[in-house]
Amino acid sequence: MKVLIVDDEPSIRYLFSEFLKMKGFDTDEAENGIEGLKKFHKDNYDLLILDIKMGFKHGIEVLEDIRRQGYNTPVIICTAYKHLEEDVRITSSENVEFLAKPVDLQKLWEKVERLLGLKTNAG
Amino acid sequence: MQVKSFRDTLKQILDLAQDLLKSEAGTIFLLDNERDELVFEIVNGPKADELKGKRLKIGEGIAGKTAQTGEGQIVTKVKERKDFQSKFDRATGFKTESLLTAPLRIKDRIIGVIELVNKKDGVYTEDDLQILEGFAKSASSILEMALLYERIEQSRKFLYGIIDSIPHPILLLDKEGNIVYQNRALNQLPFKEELIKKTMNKKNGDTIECNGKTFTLTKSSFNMRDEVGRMVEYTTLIFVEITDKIMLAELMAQKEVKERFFAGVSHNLKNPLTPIIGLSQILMSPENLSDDVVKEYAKRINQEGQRLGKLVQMFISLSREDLGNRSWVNIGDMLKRLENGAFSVYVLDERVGIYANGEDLELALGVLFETLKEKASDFNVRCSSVDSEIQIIIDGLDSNTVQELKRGMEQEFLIDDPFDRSNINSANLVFFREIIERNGGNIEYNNDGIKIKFFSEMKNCTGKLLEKYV
Repeated sequence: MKVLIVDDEPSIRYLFSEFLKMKGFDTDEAENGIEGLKKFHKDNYDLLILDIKMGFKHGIEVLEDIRRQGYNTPVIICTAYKHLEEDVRITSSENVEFLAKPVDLQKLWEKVERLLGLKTNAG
Repeated sequence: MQVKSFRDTLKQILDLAQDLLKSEAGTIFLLDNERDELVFEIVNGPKADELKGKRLKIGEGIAGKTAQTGEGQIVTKVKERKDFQSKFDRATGFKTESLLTAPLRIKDRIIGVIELVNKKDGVYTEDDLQILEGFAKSASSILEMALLYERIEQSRKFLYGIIDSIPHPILLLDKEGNIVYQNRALNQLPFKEELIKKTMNKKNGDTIECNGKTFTLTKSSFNMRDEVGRMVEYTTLIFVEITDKIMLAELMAQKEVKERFFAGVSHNLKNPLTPIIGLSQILMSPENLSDDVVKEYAKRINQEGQRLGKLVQMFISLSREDLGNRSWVNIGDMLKRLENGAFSVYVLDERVGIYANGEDLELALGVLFETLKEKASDFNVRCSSVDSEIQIIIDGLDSNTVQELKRGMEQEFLIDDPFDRSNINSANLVFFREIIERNGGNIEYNNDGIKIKFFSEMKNCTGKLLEKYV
């Protein structure tokens, strides 16, 4: 499975990438929304992690663009702005999870599992 | 022309008539239309005070008949006239022998009666009546003007009363700009003269600063009759004090800036926190990591910790109200300390320095260089001096980066916009600009870079200053 991480913070891209590689994912990175969209169209991704506040195109715009183009790829939105969650849920709630900053890797993993249906119903 | 009041004019008319027709006493009655009565308005003679304000019915007595018919009367012997009202004589003890009356008119309307009493050298004649009637007729236009004057005066007093009741200072000027009236609120201002002086050449809506207070000026014109009845243009200047409103607006703005600032602070602190917490979580997990990976993670945690430390220091510096500790700071040395592989520093004057908070300044320049490192591949930093001006010139940037720097620096801590598309960290730029300005510097933007200028407080500085520093 392949994940695209779109964030203007190199240290955050590095962290997510390291963590997801450890979990067995392939990862790719983009430092802004425009670069993220370009990569999204070139390759097939199973999951997108989008930061909201970025140069050129912010995370919500990227989400809106890909949904408008008919892609239903699962998306995790990282935000330090709690109040935005409600706004985004109204316009695009399907296959979207929110992750509050500073990001807790355990929570990130829970959301990845939920969106990709990885969690086994063992218990 | 000196215009007299209506009452003064009446008195003058009566005096003249009495003198002309050599009479012992005289009265001018005015008509009270509401009550159909004549009022003893102006009274000359030994019992004048007792008669003033007394009243007669229209048609009653000799004067009452004149008011009713509009015709003058001669009474040579009042004893022979049944309609003579002797009650006033009885009341005052005065002895009326003869009377001469004529109506007083304004335009064609009877407004009262002039009555002369007891001709001193004989009896009143038909000639006397004609003289009095002619005299009363010619007094008509003077009375009309006096009445107009009286009304203007009343209107003026009414207007001034209104102006006085307004709590804002008000100045009334004539067309030539002469002061016509100053209201009570203006007269109570201890700095009235200064305020009036500052008002000259000001337009409607302008703001006037005076004695630590701020006023807005409302200027408007209106027409009013002057003392001789001409329509004249006047200008009112109303000063509304807005000092408190301005202070309140400033406080609100400060509060908003502060709120945004702290919201921005929390957002910016979260960025380095994520890798610090995340990488340490991985390190603590049961994953088998190679030594190289562990070292790499530790290095990154350390880097992010340093970054976090800088951010905290930045925000502490910004939250401080004053400049903090200042000393002589050698700019060249400081730039050399900050130099790293990403850019070159050229110090053209090695001993240039300024009196500033060196710690803050070094942090701010460091933050700027870190920010630029991410955005520009090749830039230079030069340090030189021109007369008393010390310059740090950063060039080799593209114009888009310069524009973005400018935009970022000009923000008033607007770093909490989640949709801000700036790809330069605005918090860093705002911090940089703020620290530079607090230390007396200013920033200029060129096509390919920026110039930071400081004025050295040492006189005749030619680049070889800093004797104190050495």
